[in-house]
Amino acid sequence: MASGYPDYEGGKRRVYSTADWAADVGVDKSFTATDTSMAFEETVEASHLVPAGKTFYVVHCSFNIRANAAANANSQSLGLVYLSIDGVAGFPFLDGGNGGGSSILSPPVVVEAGQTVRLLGLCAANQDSRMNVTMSGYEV
Amino acid sequence: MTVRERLARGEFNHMSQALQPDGSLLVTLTKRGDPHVYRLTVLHLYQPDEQVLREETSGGD
Repeated sequence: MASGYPDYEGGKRRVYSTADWAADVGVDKSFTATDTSMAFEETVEASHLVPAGKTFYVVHCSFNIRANAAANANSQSLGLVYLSIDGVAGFPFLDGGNGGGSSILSPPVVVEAGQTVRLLGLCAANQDSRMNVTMSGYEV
Repeated sequence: MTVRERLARGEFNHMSQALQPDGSLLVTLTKRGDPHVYRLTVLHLYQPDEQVLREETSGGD
């Protein structure tokens, strides 16, 4: 530790990001949805209705997509994801990519008690595909 | 606490959802430090016509 800083007792104390702290105290949450056979423009959705008295902060979203048939493995596997909150206009987060994508949301997307947040994955590939979507964060 | 109540109260850390061929949704919940796995099969989750078909708790033995 640089001189002039207080003694942090050899690692017993540390500076946490809020997300790191959430995992440390057990209020982290993740939501995953999977569809193992999707045609062009079919969708898969992970959703969460925030309990009364809680607020959910979405910190991270990711997805992956691949062709089911080995013969299509070298083809593009395009997918899109949309984060939405029922009753809230627009999409706080959008992403797309070939094979998948991952993003840290900073600042986090805030979902209030009683609201439903959805991460929708859309298959934009023209072959039978499987897709996973995940949103994660903390709820306090 | 039923599995549906556990879901409503947020008593979990990880949730997965998988749409089944019959149109129902299989929801799996796990909580860190809890050896159990909680499963719920439901129609129209979070909708006014939601219907719980099946609940199951496993593990922890």
